[in-house]
Amino acid sequence: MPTPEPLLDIRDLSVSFATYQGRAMVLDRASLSVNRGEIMGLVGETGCGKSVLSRAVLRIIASPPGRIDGGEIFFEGRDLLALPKKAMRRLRGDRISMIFQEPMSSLNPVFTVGNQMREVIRAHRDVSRAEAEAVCLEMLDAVRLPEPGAVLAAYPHELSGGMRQRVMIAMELSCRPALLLADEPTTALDVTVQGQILAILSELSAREGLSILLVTHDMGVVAQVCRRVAVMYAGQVVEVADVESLFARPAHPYTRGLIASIPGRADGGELYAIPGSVPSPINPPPGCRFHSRCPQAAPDCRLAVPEMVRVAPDHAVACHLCPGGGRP
Amino acid sequence: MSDPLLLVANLCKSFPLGGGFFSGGKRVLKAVDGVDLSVSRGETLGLVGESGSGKSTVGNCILRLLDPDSGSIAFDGVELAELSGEALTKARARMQVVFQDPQSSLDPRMTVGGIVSLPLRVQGLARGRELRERAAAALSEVGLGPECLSRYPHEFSGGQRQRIGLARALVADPAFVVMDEPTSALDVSVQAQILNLMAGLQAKRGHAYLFISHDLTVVRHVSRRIAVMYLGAIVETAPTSALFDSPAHPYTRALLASVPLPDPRIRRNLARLTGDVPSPVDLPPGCRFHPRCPEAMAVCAREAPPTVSLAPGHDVVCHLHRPG
Repeated sequence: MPTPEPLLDIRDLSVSFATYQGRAMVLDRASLSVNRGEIMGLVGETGCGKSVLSRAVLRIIASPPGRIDGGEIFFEGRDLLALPKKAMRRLRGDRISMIFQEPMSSLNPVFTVGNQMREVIRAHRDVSRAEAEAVCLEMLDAVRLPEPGAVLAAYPHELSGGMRQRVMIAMELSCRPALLLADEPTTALDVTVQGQILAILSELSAREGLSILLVTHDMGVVAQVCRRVAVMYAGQVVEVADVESLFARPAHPYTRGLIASIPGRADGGELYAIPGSVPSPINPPPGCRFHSRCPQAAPDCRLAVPEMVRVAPDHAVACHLCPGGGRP
Repeated sequence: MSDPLLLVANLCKSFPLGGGFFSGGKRVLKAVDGVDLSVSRGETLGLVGESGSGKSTVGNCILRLLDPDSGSIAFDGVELAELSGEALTKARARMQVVFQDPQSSLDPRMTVGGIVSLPLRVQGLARGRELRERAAAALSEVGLGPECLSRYPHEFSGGQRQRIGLARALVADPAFVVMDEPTSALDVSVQAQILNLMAGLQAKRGHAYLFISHDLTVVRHVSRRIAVMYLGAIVETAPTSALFDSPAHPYTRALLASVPLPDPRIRRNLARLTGDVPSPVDLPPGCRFHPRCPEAMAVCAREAPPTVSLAPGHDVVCHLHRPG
C-alpha cells in the first residue's frame, strides 16, 4: 500500500498573542499530521499550546489578541489558512468538527438539544425539519444515549455531564465530518464516564473511518485510545511516534520525564519529577526550550533549536542528544 | 488497630434543597450517609470516589467546617462533634487542610508570610519575630525561600501556590492533615513534585493524612489503606495492595478497570459501567449501586447490604459477599 497523503497536515505553524508583557509566542513552528481513520494524540502540559494548535485548525483563534504568524494547515489537500472566510465557515461543523472540555459551556442553555442539533444539520444540508430530526435520533443512538427522543426535547441543564458530552459528540458528527478535533473531551468527567466516552470515540473511528485529533494531558488516555502521538512542550512539537514506540522507547528527555512522573508505576517510592516549571512563552529560552529543565542538557542545547529528525520509520524527535538522530 | 488518631462513626450530613416557594415538600440531598472510618497516627488513608460521592463533605465535617447532622468524630479521644467556641479552636490546632484549588484557597490580598503564619496567630502560638521565623522555616521546608514572605499569591505558579498551602497547613505542627484533591489542578510533572514533598514531610514529622482524591493512581501511590465511597457511603475499605489485587465490591472493580493505564500494550474495555452516578437526592432503595451494578441480584434492590469483613482491615458492603 502506498503511503497515503495525510488528512490533516500542519506545517511550521506559529501563533502568538499580544499581552501587556509583550508578545507571547504560543506556537513556534509546530508540525504534525493526522492520517485518515486514525486517532492522533496531542499531549502536553498546561500552556504548551496544544489547545491553540487545535483551534488554529478551525481558525477560531480570537484576533486580536491572537495572530497566526506563519505556517500552513493542509486539510484534504487545501491550505485552510488561505481559504476565504466563507469557505472556512462552510467547513466548520461539516468536514471538521470540534468538541471541548466543558460541554455545558458549549451548549446554549436556552434552547433544547433538538433545536441546537437540527440547526447544525440544516446549516450545512438542505433538508426538512423532519429529515434533520431523523438524523439527530440516529446520531444520539450512535453515542448510546437511552431514549433519544426525550434527550432531544431536553434542555442542557437537565442532562448529566456525561450525557452532555455525548450530545456534543452526536451534534458534531451529524454532518459526518472527516476530522474531529477533541480538546480534552473527558477531563471534566468522572473516570467511569470517561471510559464510556473514550469507548464511543474509538468505536466511531474504527467503524466510520473518522479521524480524531485528541488533545489531552493524560498519558493514560493516550496509551489506551491513540494510534500515534505528538508530544508538545512550550509551543513546540518535540516528539512524534506511534503509541507503542513512544511508551517503549521515548526519545526526548521531556517525554521520558512525563512518562516517569505518572504515579502508580513504582509502588510508593519517590516519583520522578521534572525539575523547575514550564518557561514563559513571552521570553522563551533560546535554543532547545527544554534545556533549562533537561537533566542531560549540553552546552550546545542553548545555542540552536533542534530540528525534527527521524529515528525510526514512524518516530521523529527534536533533540540534540538523540542517539541516531544527529544532523541530517 | 490500637489507638486510632481519628475515629469517625456513623457520620451523616444532608443538605436541604432550595426551599422554592412552588416546589412543595422539602427535598434533602444526602451527601454523607453513615460513614465509618479511622486513621492511625502517621498513616495515610486514601478516600476515593467520583464527583458527588461525598468525599469532600466527609473531610469538611471532620474539620468541623461543616456541622454533621449525626455521628461521632473522635480526634485523639476528644469528641469533636460536641465542641464549640474556644475548645473547638484548641482542638483544631492539631488538624489542618490543603484544598484543591491553590488559586481560591489563598487570600489574594494577604502576603505569603501573612497566609503561612495565620494558623499560628489564630491559635496564639507565636508572635513577632518568632512568627516570622516559623513562617520562613515552614516555607523553606516546602522548598521556598524567605524572600517569598513579602510576595503575594498571584506572583506564584500553581505548583508553588500548592507548596504555600502545604506550608500553611504544616506551620502549626499538626497531627492530622486533610488533603482535599491537592494535586487535581496540577500538571503531572508538578503533581509528582508535590506528592514527593508530601511524603517527605510526613516521613520527617510523622503526621497523618486523609488523602481525598478521585484519581486512583495517585491514591495508590500515597496511601497505605484506601476507602472507596459511592453516593455518600463507603462501599469498601482495604489495605492498598489488597484493594488493587483483589477488589471485592463491583464498584471498586469497575473503578479500577476504568482507569486508563499508561501502557499501550494493555488495552482494555474502559466502558465497564453504563450511566452516570445517580443524584444523591433520590437514593435508590436497597444497595445504592444496584442500578449500575453488572452483578445486581433481586435482593440488591430490596435490602441494604451488610458490611462483611473479608480479611483483617478489608471490609466490603455488598450482597455478593456473605458474612462468616
